[in-house]
Amino acid sequence: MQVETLGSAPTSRNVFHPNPAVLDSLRSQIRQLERGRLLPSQAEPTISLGDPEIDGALPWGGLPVSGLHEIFGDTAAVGFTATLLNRLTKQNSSVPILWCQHGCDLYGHGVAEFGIDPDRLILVQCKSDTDILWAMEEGLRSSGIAAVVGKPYKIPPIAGRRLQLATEENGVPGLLLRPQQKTQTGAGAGKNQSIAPTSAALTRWHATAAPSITPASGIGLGAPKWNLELQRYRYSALNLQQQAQKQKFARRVNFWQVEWCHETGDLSVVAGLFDGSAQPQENKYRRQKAC
Amino acid sequence: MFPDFIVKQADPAADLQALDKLATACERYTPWTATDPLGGGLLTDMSGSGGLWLDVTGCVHLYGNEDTLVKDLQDRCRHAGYQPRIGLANTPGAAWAAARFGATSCTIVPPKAHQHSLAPLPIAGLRLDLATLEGLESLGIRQIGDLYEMPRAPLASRFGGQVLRRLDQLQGRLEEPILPRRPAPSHSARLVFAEPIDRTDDISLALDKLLAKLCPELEEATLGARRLELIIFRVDNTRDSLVIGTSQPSREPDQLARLFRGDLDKLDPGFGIEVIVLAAIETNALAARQIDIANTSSCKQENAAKLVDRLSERLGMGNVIRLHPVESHLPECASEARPALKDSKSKTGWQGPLRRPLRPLQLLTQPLPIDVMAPVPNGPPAMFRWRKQQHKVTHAEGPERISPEWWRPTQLQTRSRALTKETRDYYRLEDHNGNRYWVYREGLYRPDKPPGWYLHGFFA
Repeated sequence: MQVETLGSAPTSRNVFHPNPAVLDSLRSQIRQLERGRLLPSQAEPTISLGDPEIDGALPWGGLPVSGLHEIFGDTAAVGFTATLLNRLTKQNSSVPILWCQHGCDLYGHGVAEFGIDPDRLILVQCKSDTDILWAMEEGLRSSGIAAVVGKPYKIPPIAGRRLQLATEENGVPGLLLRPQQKTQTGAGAGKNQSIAPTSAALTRWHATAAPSITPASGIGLGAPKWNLELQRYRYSALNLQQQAQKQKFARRVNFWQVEWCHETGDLSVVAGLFDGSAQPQENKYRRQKAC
Repeated sequence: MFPDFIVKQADPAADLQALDKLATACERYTPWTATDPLGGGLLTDMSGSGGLWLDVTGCVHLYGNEDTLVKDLQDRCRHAGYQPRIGLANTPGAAWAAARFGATSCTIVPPKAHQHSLAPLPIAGLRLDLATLEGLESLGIRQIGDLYEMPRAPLASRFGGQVLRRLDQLQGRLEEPILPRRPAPSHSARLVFAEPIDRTDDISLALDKLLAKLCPELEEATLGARRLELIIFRVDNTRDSLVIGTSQPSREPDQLARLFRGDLDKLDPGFGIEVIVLAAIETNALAARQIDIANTSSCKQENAAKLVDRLSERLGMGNVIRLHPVESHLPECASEARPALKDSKSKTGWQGPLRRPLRPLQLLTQPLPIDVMAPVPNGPPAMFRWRKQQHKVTHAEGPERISPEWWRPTQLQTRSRALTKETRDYYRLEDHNGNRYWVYREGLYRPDKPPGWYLHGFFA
């Protein structure tokens, strides 16, 4: 008897079929706890990052507008943030943008080159992280702001959760600029160990500068090139499962080398195989027309 | 003959400034203080003819009597290094004459003997222009008293209405208003307590009551407050005040109360507060408005303004800023930060001249010196050291030569080292990691002096 039960135990575990009704009720309960956002809904407003490859890696098919996004990195991260800001606030182009950080080093003419009207910026110089987080939350809860950017040194988990709730409730996008993470392998691009604790943000990006491609003329600097890594995003486990089911992607692509195009403000993924950049669509069209 | 004699150019602007400062100091006697730069409306630019008007009506008892007030004023002026001449009389005209032509430096004209004591003063005390004065003197009229008994009609026909007007002003037959420097606030609310209060909670409660009184008043006048002052009067006859500003005219009690609330504990109640006054110092027209149910753009603008108010209130006005373009070639002067609370529109746009080289996303407020190795003295660097790290330059672009703006007398903004008067050659550099920097070489190449290199900004 004993031998039989021992032998049959693994098989009974393997053939366990859950009751779909029970699972559904559990799922609906969790959905209520999660404020109805267990699954990335297609109806959620998203913006494209300019390249279908990056958009496709996100479960929403683009970057959700009403959400908190973390961007780690150095000056490239500021550039990536400015690119995102431009895309996030394109619809309501007269509404101000709140930017909170310690001190103020943003340069108006440089911001203008990223397609953001500097007149829209309200810069908040704070003396402490507490002030930054408070100002960000005030901005996210106010309906007169197009987007909020904050650059605190540290974010307590509860504060991050509060920010995410505020942006969900009000639909104002929030961007968190974070200092560069310490890498274990020196300047190993894309091999960064995620040191920062998980936060409530929807996505976490890591942007660092990459050596640019010498322009065709051989003189001067080419288009800015960044190593862009999507380190984590909400529903990533879910997305992996779906991908495995669909067998669409053999591996999880979350690292790209992107170029930022000054003319269109688009990001384009640089092809990894040959030493050249994939031109953005509009640019290609323009070049054909010129020929 | 006089070796110590110093000749200096008259500086009317500085005189005026000093007079204004003195007037501010004199507000301790009466709020109704005015400067009189030209000397009683005599439109002649006579140096030293200026003065101050103080309307001390109703303020004298605070100092006991007129003598003590004048004594106090005289002492304080002397302490500040001035030799004052003070006249106190029933009318501004009489005080003017008494101050300038009185027998002593401090003349109080007794109200009962007004006519009598002014009579021996010269007619120059009437604030007449030079031609009239000469005309009167040629007739043998030298004292004010001489005019008392003169028939009015011939005087008027001969010298115009001026003499009679001044005489009437002197004697109080004609009203002469003094315009105070600070206009009295048009809208204010006042709360007097039977028992002095001293708790912050009570002040907060009083503030709510005052706002409930003031806001409907503003609504009736279709005005909105831009600046509000909360003034407390303590039992020991001292006062303190708190001023708030809004970025858009407002008359919503809740919003205004929130702006005050953070700072209420800064008010020191001392021995207790007797009276609280809430005054709208600055108001703008604010029309009545339909409540906006849909979230339209005007509503959004208003919300943004409210946010700016809240942020400025907690973090300080200078810490919530907007960037404004300034017409300047110097990068650090081309963008200026102004408080977002003040709505100032800049005329110049952000787009620079055509084909201007790119500008960095982040600009250092103070350019940082770097060690540079450049193969050619006039060329871009091949390597530079910043923060004890070597950066090998792989790509360089430049130079963009920016000359100092010699036509400006002084640098408008002295945010940085105010930029020596040297030409700068800016280069965009990319190091081996792909980081991009904006560096410049100060000055033109000189064989005797190594060039100074500075890091000024970062490109994304």
